[in-house]
Amino acid sequence: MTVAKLLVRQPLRGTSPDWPTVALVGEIDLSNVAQIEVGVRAAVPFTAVGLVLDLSGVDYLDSTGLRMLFQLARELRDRQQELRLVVPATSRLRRVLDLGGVFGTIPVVVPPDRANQGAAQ
Amino acid sequence: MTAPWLVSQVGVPVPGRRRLPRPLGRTGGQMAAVGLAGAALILLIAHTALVGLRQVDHAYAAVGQIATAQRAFQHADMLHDALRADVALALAQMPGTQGPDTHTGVAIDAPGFRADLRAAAAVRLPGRLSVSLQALRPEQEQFADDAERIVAQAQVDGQAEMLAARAQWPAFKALFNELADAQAAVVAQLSEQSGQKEQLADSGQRTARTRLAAAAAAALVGFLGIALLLGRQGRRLAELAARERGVAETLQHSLLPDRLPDLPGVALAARYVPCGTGVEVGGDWYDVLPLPGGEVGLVMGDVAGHDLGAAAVMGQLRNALRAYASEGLPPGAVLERLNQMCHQQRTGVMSTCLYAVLDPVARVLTVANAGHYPPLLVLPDGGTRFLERPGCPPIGAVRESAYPETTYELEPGASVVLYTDGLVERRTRPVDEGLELLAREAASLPAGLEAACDHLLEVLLADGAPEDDVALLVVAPAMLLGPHLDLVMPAEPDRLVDLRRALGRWLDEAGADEDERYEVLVACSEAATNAVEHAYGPGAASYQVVGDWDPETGEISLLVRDWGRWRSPRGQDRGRGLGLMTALMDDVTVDRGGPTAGGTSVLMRRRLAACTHPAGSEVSTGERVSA
Repeated sequence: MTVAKLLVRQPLRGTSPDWPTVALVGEIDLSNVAQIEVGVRAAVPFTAVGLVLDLSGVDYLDSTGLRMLFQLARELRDRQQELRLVVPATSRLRRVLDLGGVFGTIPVVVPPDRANQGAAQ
Repeated sequence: MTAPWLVSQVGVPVPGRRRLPRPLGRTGGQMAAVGLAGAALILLIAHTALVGLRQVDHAYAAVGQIATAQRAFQHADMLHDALRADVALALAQMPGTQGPDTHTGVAIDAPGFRADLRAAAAVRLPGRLSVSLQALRPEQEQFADDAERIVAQAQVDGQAEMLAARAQWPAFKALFNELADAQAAVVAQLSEQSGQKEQLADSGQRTARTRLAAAAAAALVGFLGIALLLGRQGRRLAELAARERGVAETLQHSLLPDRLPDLPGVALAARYVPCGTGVEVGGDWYDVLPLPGGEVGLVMGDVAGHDLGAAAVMGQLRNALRAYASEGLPPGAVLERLNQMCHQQRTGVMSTCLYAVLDPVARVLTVANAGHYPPLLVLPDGGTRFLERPGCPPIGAVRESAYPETTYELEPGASVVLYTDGLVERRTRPVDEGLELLAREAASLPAGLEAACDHLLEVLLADGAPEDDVALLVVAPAMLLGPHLDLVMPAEPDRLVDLRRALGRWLDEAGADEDERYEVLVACSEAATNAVEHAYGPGAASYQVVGDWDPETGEISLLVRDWGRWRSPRGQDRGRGLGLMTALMDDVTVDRGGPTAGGTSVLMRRRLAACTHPAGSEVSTGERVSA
């Protein structure tokens, strides 16, 4: 099983239990998207208000990744929870997220400056 | 691992259990039985022949005895006549006129006669003859006595004595005649006996000769039988050994890559030469592994031993190493775990192993070495260097061993040669000389890795078939991919990353900026993902990516083609790929093929912002190992 240098980080230190944060690092493609989806889903407790998914460390994402994001957003919405994405202003992913229609559908947080990307919110 | 699997893998028939030759016990017993029977037969025949010869000996001795007796008796017979003549002569003389002759005649003949009789009697003769001789003896003695007495009387000077002597003549003559007949009969008996004995001896000799010949023939037959059995046994042993070798070879071949992976930007060539002599099979192996991050794992190993067991251990190590490597572990950690696994499983077999990870884009080689010969670095200017480090123990030798890594930056055009000991170790040549020869030859290799491999094998194995198996792997990261890219990728999700690595490198060469690079990668990956996911069911085959960039206009074109049937997007959130492709590229054409003709082609074009690049003038597709 190829995991393209991707880590699913459990809720970051200092984040609120209402808003657990998961950071993804590496590349997301057909080979690992299902595994990531399972990992991310497991990181959202039933009691949480929503999930912050930090894409700052993601180098590659295509329509398979987009599909996962929409799937997650829909699942959380069904549970009255919310998915928020962290995408730096300079992220290479922006064009694809834009073309895929993410920005109109899923709330995106832009971290204040690049040096602080990893710790969004 | 079952035999039918092996058959289908390599096409070498593996014998079923029932058809394996029986163990050696039965034939060993047969041989012992034939040998013992042969020996007993030979002994028996030799014994009877010896007995026969002794009988012949006795017969000839008897013939000799009879001859002696015959001679004595014949002489006695002659003197018997002489005595009669002596007496007749003495009686025929006038009284008083007898000379000394008559007296002398009897005086010589009578003792001689008696001596002959004694001599004849002294010979041991067969019973009947002995009796005949004994029976005759008193009368013969009587005859001699009479002869002496008559002659003595006749010699006395007186008429009356002469008359008295002459009066005895008739009786003496009668005795003489009687004896003559009897003696003739005995002589006849003697000669008859002699003839019989002679015949007996002759026939005995013939029998003995026949028996000796028979013994020799029997021995010959016995030995032939043993030789035949030995021959059959030898063939059976050879067959057994050949079968074991066949199984080991089949196993080994099934564990070696039947073809090297097609990795963009990495030129590879490998050779495996099984040892030419004996029935042994080596535990050498090599492997080339595409790794998750687009790197390439290079493996070269040698399990101690030359049998089925070694081949089996080789298979275990190879698979374990593949598993650890696919986790993306660095070389040192991979060898460490391999060593731990060996100790946990108590394979009890040692193996040298070299594991290196090559990043073909950065041209960085990271090596960990467990007691294997060092790889040879060949520089484009013809310089060579063994990548030697303080040695680490082989896998399975020391528990908890560490395998430090060394990193080398390969200059453009450099190549690396990995090999097993069979290449450099020859009985007729010290190892140092072998290594020296390898380095010398590697400095002036023909262009192309395949030709380079052939050349190295030709020179280093010049003195005939190798005594040990030889594995050889030459790898060279391509300097540049060039404006034309043609990749055939396996339709597996796990290999999409390899496509992105190769395409990324190609786009870098074309001068794409960061955003362009990412966007073209996404567009092409969408088509590739479609080929993997939509165009095929499970058990995927492959798809092709052909790229071209024009250095003048800065336009790139990418064709992604598969050989499956197009499947319309299904399920939620699907079908975004085509939208992304059209948005990210200037122009996208999808050819879904006809209703019968299989295959989907996606052709994409995009003009890059930067349109002239110095790289365009010095393009090479790699595969160069020497300057």
